[in-house]
Parts: sequence; C-alpha cells; structure tokens
Amino acid sequence: MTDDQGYDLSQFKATYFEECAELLATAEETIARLQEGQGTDEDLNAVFRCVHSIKGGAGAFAFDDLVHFAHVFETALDHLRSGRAELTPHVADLMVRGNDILGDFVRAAQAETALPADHGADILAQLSALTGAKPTMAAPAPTASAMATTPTPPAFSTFRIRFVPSPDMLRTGNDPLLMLRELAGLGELEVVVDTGKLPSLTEMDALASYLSWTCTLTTGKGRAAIDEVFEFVAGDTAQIDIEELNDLPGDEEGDGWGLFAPLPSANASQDEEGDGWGLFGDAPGNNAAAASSVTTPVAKAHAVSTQQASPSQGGAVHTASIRVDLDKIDRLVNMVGELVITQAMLGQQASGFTVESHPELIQGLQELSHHTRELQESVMAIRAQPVKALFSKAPRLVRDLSSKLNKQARLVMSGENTEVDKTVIEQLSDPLTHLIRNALDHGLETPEERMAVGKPAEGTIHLAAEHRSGRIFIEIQDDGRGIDRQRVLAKAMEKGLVEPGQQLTDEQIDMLIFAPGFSTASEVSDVSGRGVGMDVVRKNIQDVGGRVVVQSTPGAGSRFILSLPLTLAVMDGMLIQVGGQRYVLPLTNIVESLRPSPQQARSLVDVGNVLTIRGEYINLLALHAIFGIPGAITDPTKGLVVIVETEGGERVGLLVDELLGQQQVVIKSLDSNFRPIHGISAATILGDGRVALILDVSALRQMGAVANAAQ
Amino acid sequence: MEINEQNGRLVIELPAVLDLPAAAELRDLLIDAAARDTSLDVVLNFTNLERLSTAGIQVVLAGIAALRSAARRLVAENVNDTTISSFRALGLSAQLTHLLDT
Repeated sequence: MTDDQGYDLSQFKATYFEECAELLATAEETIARLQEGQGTDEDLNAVFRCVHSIKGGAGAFAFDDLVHFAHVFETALDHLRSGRAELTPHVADLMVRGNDILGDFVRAAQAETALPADHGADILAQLSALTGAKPTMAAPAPTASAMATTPTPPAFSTFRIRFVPSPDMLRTGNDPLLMLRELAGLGELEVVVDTGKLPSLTEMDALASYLSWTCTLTTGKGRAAIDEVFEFVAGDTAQIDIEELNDLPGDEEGDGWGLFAPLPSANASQDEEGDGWGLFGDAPGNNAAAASSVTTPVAKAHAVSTQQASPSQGGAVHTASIRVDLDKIDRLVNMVGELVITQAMLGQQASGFTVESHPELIQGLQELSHHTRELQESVMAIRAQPVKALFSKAPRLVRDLSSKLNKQARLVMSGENTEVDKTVIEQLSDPLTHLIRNALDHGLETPEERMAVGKPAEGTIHLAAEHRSGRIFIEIQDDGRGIDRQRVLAKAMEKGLVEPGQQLTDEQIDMLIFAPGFSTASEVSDVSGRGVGMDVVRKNIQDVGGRVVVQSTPGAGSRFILSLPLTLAVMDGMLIQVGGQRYVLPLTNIVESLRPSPQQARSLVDVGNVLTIRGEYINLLALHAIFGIPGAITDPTKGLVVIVETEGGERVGLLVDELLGQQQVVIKSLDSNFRPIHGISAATILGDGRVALILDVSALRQMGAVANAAQ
Repeated sequence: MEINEQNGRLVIELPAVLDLPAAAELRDLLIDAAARDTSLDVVLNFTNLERLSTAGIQVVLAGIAALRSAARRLVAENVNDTTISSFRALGLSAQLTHLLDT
C-alpha cells in the first residue's frame, strides 16, 4: 500500500523481518549459554529485549498471534530475570522451544500464512504456568493481568514521563499509541496530551508526529519497565524524560495508593471527560486520581534523566548504523571493481613515464592507487559479518543430535567474531551444519566405545574461525574415531570410484568422502549418511572460491579445514608470464620466488622434477607443460620458480618465465561467464584490456602430481 | 476511501486499518471535503475500523479544526470500542467527546 508520497509500508515490514531474524538468532545463542549454565543476568535481559523487540514490531503491524505468544514468552522471561521464577534446566529447554515457536510465528507472519490455532499451545501453557497465569490462545491479555498473578505485592512508585516524539517518529514504524498502551499496562496511567503543535489540515504532513504527552504512572514494575516501553525510540526518535515522584515514606510497602499527587494538569483538563466512558474499570488509582485533584502536590522530583544519558540502566543502546539494501552495496562493489580495472589501465598507460619526467602524474597515480585500495577495503568491510551468526546454530545442533544419537558431546567454539563476506556466510550455513552432523554421527563414538579405548565419555567438537594469510579458515575438529581408511577405500572400490589395484595416499583416500554419492553409512539415517552431504559441502564451498581439506588420524579424530576468501570481488595478485600468456597468482599463496641453480633443480625417479631449497625437496611444476603453452622457458635455471603454498600447507614450485608485477585484480567468475576449468579459479581483466586467468594453486598441485605419476 | 454524498452529508467510510498510508489518504479526502463549496457536514463512519494509529487520529483532529474554521462540522458515526480506547490511550478523550457531540 502506498500513498501519494510513495510511502511503502512493506519496506518497514522487510526491515522488521530482517531484524527478527537477527533477534531470534541472538536469543537462541544467548539461551544456549543459559542452558549450559554459563549465562548471566545480562543474558536473561538480552533474551528479554530480543523477544520484546519482536513483540513491539509485531504490534505495529498487527501480527496479533505473534504479539500474543511474544507477550507470554516475554512475561515468563520477566519473571525469570526478576527472580520470581527459577531458571532450571527444564525452564532453559522451555526457552529454547519458546524461541522456536516465536520463530514459527515470525515466519508465518512474513509468509502471510496462518499457523494452526493450537500451534505452540503446549509451550504457551508451560510459559504461562511459569508466571502463574492461565494460558490462553485468544487475544493478548493486558500486562496488568500478569501483575495480578504476581505472588509478592510489588512496591509502587509514581513516575512522571514526558514523551515528545520527533517529527519523523511515525515514519520509523513506531506509534505512540502502542507505547502509551504498553505504558498503561504497567499500572495506573494518566495521560495529558499536548496538541499545540498540530498544524492545519492543509499544512500537516500526515506521516509526521505533532503530538506530545505528559504521563503520570503509578506502577510496581519499576523504572526499568518504563525504560523498556521507550527502548527503541529514546534518543534520536523521541525525547523521553522520566521523573520519579515517590518521596513519601512507606510507599515501598505498597501502601501508597492514593497518596501520590499527579501533575495538576493531569486531571484538570482531560480526565473528568475521560472517566465518563465507563470503559476503564476499577483500578485502585482512580480514587487516587480523584483525590489528587484537590491535593497539593507533595512529591518532588529527585531523579530526572533521559534514556540517552543512561543507556546502562536498561535503556536503549544506540548504535550509529543504518540498514542498506544489499543490492545497493553490490552495485557499489561492482563499481569499485571497475575502478580497480581503470586504475590498472591508467597505471599501464603511464608505465613508460618516470617520476622525473611526469612527477605530478606519477604522484597522482600513486594516490589514486592508495585511495582505490582504501575504498575497496572499506566497501568490503560493509559486506563483512562475524561468523558468529553462523556459529550460533551449532550449540543447539550438537545438543539435539548428541541426544538423538545417545552420544555425549561438548562443543568448543573460538573466533566467532572473525568477519567474512556476507555471501560466504550464507553459503557456509549448509556445509557447516553437515560437517557438524557428520562429526557427531560418524566421528564421535558412543560413550561406551570411547571409554573402552581410554577416552573420556564426552567427546569434543571444536569449531574455530580465524584470519590467516588473507583468507578465512574455519575448522571443525572432533576427537572421535577418525576416518576408517580401509572401509572408505573398500566402499570407493565397490562404487567404482577407485580402480582395483590403484594406489592412493592417505590424503587421497580421505578426500574420497567428498566424492558424489559416496557414503559408508550402512543405514541411511536422518542425521547423515545420505551420501550426498559431503559432495554438497565441497561444492558449496568451491562456489564461493573456497576449498575444504580433511586431516584425519585413526583413533584420534578428524579435522575439516575450510579455506575461504575474505571477499569475492577483488584480490591481490602477482602477474606472471609463461610463453606468450599472462596468468595471475593469488598473492596469498606465494611464499617466495627464485632462479634456482643447476644444483637446486633436479629430476628424481618416481617423483619428477624437484627443487631443493634449504634442505627441503619441493615438487617443481612447469606451467607450460600443464597448460601446453609453446615458446615458454623450459629450463628452471633460466626461468623463475615461484614457491607457492596450498591451503593444506603443502608447498610446490611453479616454473614461470617472468614476474610482471603485483596488482589488485577484479575476480570474474569463469563458472558463470564461461565454464569451470581445472587449475583455474577465475579470470580477470588487465589494464590493457586483456583477460588473464587466475591460477588455482591447490588444483595445480594435484594436476602436477597426476602428470608426474603419468611420467 | 472516498467521499459519498448521502442524505445531505458527505460521508467517508473509514477502512479497517487507519494506518500511516490510510491517514495520508484521509487527509487528502478531508481537505477535499473541507474545500467543497457546500455547507454539508462531513461524517466519518467508523463501522469498519479495526485498528487506528496516532497518524490517523492526528488527521481526524486536524479535520475537526479545518471544518470548524469553515463553519462546518466533522461528525463521527458508529464509533466502536477500538476508537474509544485509542483516543483514550492518547489522552484525547475530550476531543473524541467533541467529535461525538457535534
């Protein structure tokens, strides 16, 4: 629905659902900590805020079922954080299920579908029981009903709240009506509105906010509850001044009903008419309000603060951030890519000039290069997100699966704040889930099996992320039984993946588990063993320019290492020449380069050409031989050897004619623009407009090994 | 929403949800109604209204003033509990009373 100003409510909904996804993930992660007994009071507060935020937005869009469930969930959380209910393991499990059901309601609202009327009824009932309230599947009960079931009478205080929305507040999806209703749910509320700024009909902007309010609230819920009502608007979106008026003795005993004097204006102009509707029942404060109209205000303010000034008191945490559509960022990334190509072109055009002949041009080009790089890094940083979002699902996965498989497993995570491109994160979700499942299902033994071989009954799965050499590495390590290579090899032969009699190294046998259709599970289970998972794992990772390797020690466990690019758009490369062709080597793979002496370059039987350097033998691969390039230097002692390192840590020497120089290159996918080529990871456009292929070092090493074996 | 002339009055049937976009639409209709060269009352029919927003209520308040300045009246009909509770929650009971009394 749009208005004449092009105002589209769907934008707010989209933002709301994005926020919901983040809030649900945060809640899940935090509840997991609570479940493991590692949580703090702040964690409970954090979960409460997540649920409260989801409820707040849902109210704005009239997602009534969602609001209702969130309200009951939130009330239960409120009881937990205030100590009125105890966080037992059962209750922690209930929180997990509650978050799941909340997610169901969010997804249903997003898909504009209705869940069955009794969806989550059992959880709702348990959450309600936690607060002593009766469960209901009908419309949300007012917060006051929850108060009525509170076992201990709370201490009441009176607050004066000045609420002045900014003109733009309504446009942000926040409606004062909802906040004032929520405030009314906290206790007895008197509201005085200021309509003085309302312009004439013709001058008014229907989407702007012109009203402001002064409220007097008597509540037993404390200042924090009021702060939460305005949590998402305090500061830039609205001015909130909260003043406590409770100097009278004895009010903490709750016997202050009728003693607090509301603001003189609170009942002078409005309430005598407001009372006439007869819709607002017999709240104890009604008498108090009546009495106060003739009572001199005796309470005085002793605490005045704004949300903005005291975020630590449970108020809003303001982050200087905006939400930007991903397409806009991608366009920016593409333009930066084009800028990098243009910069390379200019650099090439000016390569014949010297600082002496064209000082200003050279300086300008250097500055352009510097700024382009900074721009590129800044843009990439926008797309970067912590892998935390990815890892947050792991605790639950491990817990649920270990229970299902009757295994005991402990998950240890590290490096959750490591940042990586958003697309990479999205693409990693399924592979990571499968690898964790695999570790639990195939890797870890049962407690009995573990104890029989002298291991602790509880197995450990280590999930780690780190930046290294310009790439991100994610490792999933278990201390289980390791890969049974004999069984893998037998299965591979049975499926025709390996020829009988074919000799494979341990590493090659381990990598067979990634072959399409490979599975050693004797029975297909719903956990793993469908024989497609590991293949999909490898493909998903390769799709984002990554690679997966497995290192396994029989009896001690396995380690899956995912090596991923930090970004998918631009990389630092070394331009090399072989014959008449130019290639790009990723700079992160290069260890060193040298022109070997005749003593260093040798040919060994059964191994092929090797390079001896500092007492170490390194396989020497001639790129001209692999790609069939005529006119290239074939003698290593006359060309150059670039020593590169693969993700698995193996080193190999590449024979090239010449190093042309280092430069940033824009990665252009061969898969989407042409077709995959073994040994080539992508292509790029050079400054002179020529296309250069980017070498895939790990694949080259495999190709070299095959070539040497063939020789 | 649209303006219908019924029984010597200009009637606007409010939608089920008077949210921000609907508030902007209502504003335009009220400006149109107030600008018409007529002395007819403008009636807001709340029969279908299920949800009201602050933006919608602001427009109604401005509409009351606009018609009053044109020596005409904005009249509310079939006001339901949702409307009453919304005005009340915003501290606008007096304004709603005025709307109903006219």
